[in-house]
Amino acid sequence: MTSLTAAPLGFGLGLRSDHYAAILERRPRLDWFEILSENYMVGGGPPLANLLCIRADYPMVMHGVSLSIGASDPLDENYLNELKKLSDIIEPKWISDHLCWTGYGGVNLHDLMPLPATEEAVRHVAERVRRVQDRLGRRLLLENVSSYVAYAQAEMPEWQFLGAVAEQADCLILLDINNIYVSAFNHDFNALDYLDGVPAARIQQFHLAGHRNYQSHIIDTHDQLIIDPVFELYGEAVRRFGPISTMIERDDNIPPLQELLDELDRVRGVAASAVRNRAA
Amino acid sequence: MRLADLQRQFTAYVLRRPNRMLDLVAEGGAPADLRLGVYAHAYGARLAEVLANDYPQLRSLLGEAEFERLALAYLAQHPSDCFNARWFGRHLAGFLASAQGWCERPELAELAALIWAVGEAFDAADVVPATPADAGSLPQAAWLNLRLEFLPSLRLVATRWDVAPLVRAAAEAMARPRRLPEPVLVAVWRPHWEVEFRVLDPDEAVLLRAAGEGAEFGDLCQLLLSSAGETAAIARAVGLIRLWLEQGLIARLEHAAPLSTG
Ligand SMILES: [Fe+2]
Repeated sequence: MTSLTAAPLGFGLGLRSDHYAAILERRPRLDWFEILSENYMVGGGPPLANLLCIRADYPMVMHGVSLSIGASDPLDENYLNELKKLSDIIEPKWISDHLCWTGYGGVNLHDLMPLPATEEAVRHVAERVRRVQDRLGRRLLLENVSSYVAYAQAEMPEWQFLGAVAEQADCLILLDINNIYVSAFNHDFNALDYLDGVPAARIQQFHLAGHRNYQSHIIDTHDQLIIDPVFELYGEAVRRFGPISTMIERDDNIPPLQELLDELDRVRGVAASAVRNRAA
Repeated sequence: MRLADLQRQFTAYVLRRPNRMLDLVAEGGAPADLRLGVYAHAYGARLAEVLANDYPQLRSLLGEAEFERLALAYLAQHPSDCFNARWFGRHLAGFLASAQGWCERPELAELAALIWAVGEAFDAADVVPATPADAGSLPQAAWLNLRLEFLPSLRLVATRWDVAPLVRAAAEAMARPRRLPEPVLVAVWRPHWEVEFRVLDPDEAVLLRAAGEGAEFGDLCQLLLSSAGETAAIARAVGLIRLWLEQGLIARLEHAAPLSTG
């Protein structure tokens, strides 16, 4: 049987400019980096030069925030050109973005806006994903976002929506474990139902991150350590889906590289014991 | 409701324009306005942060509160229209130069324009500059029709206020710049990994601008003739080209003459 997904890369980190020097100096032991595509959509300059140096030593994947796959505005041709250009340079293992929309009527909100879980949205997004995949010549990974509102018009739970889009578009899934935790809290659903409801064969990557809990709601801030319940949920995910490529997203309040490497060691430990559980 | 309508309503909510968004949110948990407010707040906060990161010197000069007022006013007039927030602040100098309440302090627009040029130079395409040795190897006959191709990062910013020193000034040292006796041209470029900028001498400014527009060496000498004799004009033009080569402003020397093989 052939697998839809690529072979696992192991354990990685998001590449952030604060760490360029430390990485180039120490060549730390980690398996791969995820880059934010938009950060390198420039003519040249030091960030791009650093990126290429680091690329020589580590596998990379490209993660975008601006595709706006769920928007009703037309796909941004300029963005797709830039994305293709960068992927030709970086030759990433894969390319991902979010199951969301980011603007309307030419206004960009620079945020991952949630989509209504409707049949209309499934058809709309799937058709656009197919066009992007044709353009890039490869399958796209779509990530579940953290959300703070749900819509009255929803016709199905979010995991069913994500699964339907992935099946109809024939794309892959980047499952953000922290986002499942955040949305489960904000919308009062059971995070395990989410794990049980997504198509396992299409999951190619996991995200882990920290957040801030304001009691009435949680905001996905990526500026804190991963909390224990998210580690537990991650263990459940590995138990179900196996040793999927996993990385930590840290976007704010960025600590020295070593602290992230230590956190990544903890991720490795949780995954290893979940894999053992799986075999048992 | 169709997807496009929902997105139009939500966008209007975030931009704080009239909308029906409160009716469209599912009930349960935290109140709808608090949930929606997360998005509206994030939009303003994120773009204000982008501006603060892009224009730290302007923020130091204005102070936190005043800069926040500027960010709000700018955002109201220029909702983001590009996928990359990197370019969100590109209209700030124009806004400062024209908006009431800001255009009365023209030094602010000039400082913003210079800071933006430094940022653009940082991100510009990488080209290894030509060196004085490249001029040294030119055949004599090549000089008359010599044209200069400058680095893609080169920007020229005209200022009437002494804003250039503020770009590298420490936050505590920020003070309102003085008005210059004569307007000057500031050149901004990135020869390697560091962005450079400096105020040009008046005749250098005239020549650099003309050379950037494609003037040949002979034309450049002509431009100097009003204030110098022929020998002095040629010497000055050669001297300036040498200086630009030394400082890494020039990408390539173009000429029609065949290369000497000696
Ligand atoms: Fe994520």
